[in-house]
Amino acid sequence: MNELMIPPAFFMLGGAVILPFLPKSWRSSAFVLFCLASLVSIFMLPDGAVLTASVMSYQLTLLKVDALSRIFGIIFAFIAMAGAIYAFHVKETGQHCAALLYAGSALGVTFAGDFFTLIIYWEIMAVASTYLVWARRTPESSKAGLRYLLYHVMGGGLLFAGILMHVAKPGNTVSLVTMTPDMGLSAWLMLLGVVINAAVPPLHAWLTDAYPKATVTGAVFLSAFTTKTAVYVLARVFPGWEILLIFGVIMTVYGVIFAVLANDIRGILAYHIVSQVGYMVAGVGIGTAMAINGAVSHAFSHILYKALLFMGAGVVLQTTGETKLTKLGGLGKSQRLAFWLYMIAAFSISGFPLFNGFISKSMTVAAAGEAHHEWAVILMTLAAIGTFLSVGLKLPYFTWYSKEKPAELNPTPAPKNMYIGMAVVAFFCIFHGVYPNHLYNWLPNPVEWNPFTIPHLVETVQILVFTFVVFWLFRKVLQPKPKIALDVDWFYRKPAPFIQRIIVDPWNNGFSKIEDYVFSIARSLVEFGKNPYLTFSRNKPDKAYTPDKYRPTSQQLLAIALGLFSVVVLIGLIFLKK
Amino acid sequence: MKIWHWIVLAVLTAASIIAEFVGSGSHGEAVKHSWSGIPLFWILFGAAGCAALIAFAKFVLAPVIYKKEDYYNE
Repeated sequence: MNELMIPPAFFMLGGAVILPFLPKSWRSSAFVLFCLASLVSIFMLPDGAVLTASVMSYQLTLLKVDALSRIFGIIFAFIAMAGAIYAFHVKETGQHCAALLYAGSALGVTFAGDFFTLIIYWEIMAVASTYLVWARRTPESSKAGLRYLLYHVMGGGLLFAGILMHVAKPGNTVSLVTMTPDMGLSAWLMLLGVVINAAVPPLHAWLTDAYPKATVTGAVFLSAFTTKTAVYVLARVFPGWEILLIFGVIMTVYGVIFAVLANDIRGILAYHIVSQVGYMVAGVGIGTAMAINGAVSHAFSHILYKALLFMGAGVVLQTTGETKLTKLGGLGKSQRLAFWLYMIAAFSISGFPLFNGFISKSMTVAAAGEAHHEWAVILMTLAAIGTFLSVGLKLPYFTWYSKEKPAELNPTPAPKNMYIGMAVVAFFCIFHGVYPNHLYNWLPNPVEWNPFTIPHLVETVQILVFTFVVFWLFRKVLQPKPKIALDVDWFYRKPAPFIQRIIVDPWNNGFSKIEDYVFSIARSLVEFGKNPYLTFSRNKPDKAYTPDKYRPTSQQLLAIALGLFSVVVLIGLIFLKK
Repeated sequence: MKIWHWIVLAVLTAASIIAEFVGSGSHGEAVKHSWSGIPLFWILFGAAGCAALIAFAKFVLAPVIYKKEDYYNE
């Protein structure tokens, strides 16, 4: 069987290698096709398919297919394809290659059957995704990208340390196994490494710092893979860890509160990734079959509507060069299509009936209710209110309406492929909202949940209507301000210059002094080499050696010859004496 | 906001209230919670929750953590 199995990641990773060698006009189409090939291959792999390889003494499992890995694989490959359509106009091959490497390694993590395969793909993801921030080529994105990379290097290091400790224990193998909190330091180190990628506060600031500074199309890919591969690993390795329920619920509320203060539209969306991933982390923490289903289905729905939200914000940035609410407004008439496609995603994330957020978020919240975590139900519902407030109301109102278009805003038309990419995603946001069984059939556990009950509809309608009413009454209070809200990244960004001064600079200065000294010695040696005579000469008319001027005289030569002769005679006499 | 927007919201609210009192008999909640018996609970929660989020963010957090955009000098 092994020779027939091709890991879906290979189509994208291979594509990233081949792409630069293709004619320029083919590259965007090839980008879409590589993603499509991965998607098709995922559907063709049978359940239980396994591909193993022996490396040194380790038995690696490069591919392992079950319901959990398949559903994540499907959505990763699909959103990569939709993102490739959205990015069709991008001429920079580096961005296409980075996106392919990033999406391919996300698939690699998803189908990895052992910890070593997982950590390799995990690290490729970190590097490839950093390029999507750097490719914006602004001073801010350059610095944020570096902070992002350092954070992920730290997270990867913790995960790898945990893996090594786990594998080193007698009786353990590299195979992926479910961990429990009593398994000691190795399990906790691995958890810490994974929750960094899941953006669990206070370890989330890499996301809200870097995503708003990424390229227009890069942010779409970023929104999909890093946090959701972490959710996948949590669901695979750490289901039922109660600490995840607590932190997951904190995440849901934390994100929405900071989003109320954010002025950058992609900043608002980034904070709502933190909030939405909170539902998934909480679902994994509850750990029941229904809660895992809720977490997984919400990850699926979230990837769709969050990519669409970033696509909508991307159209605004692409056409106006602006992402700050204080500089936007009144774009509704010129961007009607972008607005309505964005609103499909906004309705979805807000949990409107007949949109995909409604059929997945509610499953996690209901699972918390069934497990009698009432506090979690209340706080997650509060977070849903905040989601509608910021993503469904504040952002679109102050971007596309609220005032006449400022004179300095002159939106250019967006490339058509951007709208096509958005429409493809929007279709599935509605399709799963209307026909949830299409999604439920892929879930890892049997589904006994019906979202379309009267109490659930009543609850949703009442919450949404009255959230809107309060928003409308207080919209002046929500008026965006040209400010930034400090977050925990303050703890490493603000003291950075001070730490540089007391820790880095003294060493730097010391080394540069030593460097100067070494170079001065080297310079003297060079000068000496140019004309050694000068070193012994009292008058130094010329720096360079000229053979005519410094040619030795016959007396000098004679003196040297006699000297040598004397030495030879002396040695000869000493030996003859014996 | 036009008048008909408010009418739609009023109709939706009225329909939800009717459904809450009439319809829940046959499609009751799967699990009873401590708030299950409180009438119009989600209306109150929606309004109060939204107001609380705005108030906490804008009047408690903002005075402490709102800074100028060039705060980090980047």
